[in-house]
Amino acid sequence: MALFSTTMQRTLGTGAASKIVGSLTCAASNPKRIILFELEFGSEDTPANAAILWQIARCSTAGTAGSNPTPAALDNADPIAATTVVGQAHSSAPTAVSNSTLLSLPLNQQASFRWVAKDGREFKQSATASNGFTVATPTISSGTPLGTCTAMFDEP
Amino acid sequence: MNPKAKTIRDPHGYAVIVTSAGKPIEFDTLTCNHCDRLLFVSHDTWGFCHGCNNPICQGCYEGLEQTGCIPWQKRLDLEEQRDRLLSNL
Repeated sequence: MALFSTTMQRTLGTGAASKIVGSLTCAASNPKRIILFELEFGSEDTPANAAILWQIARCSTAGTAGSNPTPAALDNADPIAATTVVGQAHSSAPTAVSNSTLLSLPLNQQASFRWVAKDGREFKQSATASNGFTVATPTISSGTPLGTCTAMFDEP
Repeated sequence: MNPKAKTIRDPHGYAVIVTSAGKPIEFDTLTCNHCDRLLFVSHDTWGFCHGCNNPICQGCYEGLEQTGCIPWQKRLDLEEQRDRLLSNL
């Protein structure tokens, strides 16, 4: 069991690919389950009065990410690297799974959100290649601010 | 479920929104035992499944008669089993 943290960031948009802030997907080979136990997101851009809809949903493919941040182990004595593939700033969106939105939250651009799960009540993804979670902003009332999501997960 | 409840005895999680004025607003959360959806205790409507004895979201509650009780943990196991079978073919 290894715990990791990762941050995904991009200039937020509402297009098919530009709305995807980031994704966490199982490895294409030898996948492991992803247990998402903590999420934080918000905008670090110059404060403005805009409404942003943040959504966490499941995906069945990883899409094409602009870059792939390396998850950091919460215990740096842990020698095992994460197998979960983290992507951000996608140019091609991951394939969404229908009716799989886990969280849909409208938030002011100047507000931030944090969620922590109790043990056993996390968002869980089966060990299925390239399946996972996306963080998206399908609606923004004005502007294209920078946005960041930090996700902490376990690979049992 | 008490529609006016703001907190519950055994929440499944904790959420906080820090507003633009710097004021934190805290929530107890639940996780639907059938689909893993996040529910805010004070804002969302949810039901209870007597098959798995756990809270479930409104969507899963309304579809309970058709789908029956299939907890998300069981769905994960079935999905992985199917994936292993397909990869062995």
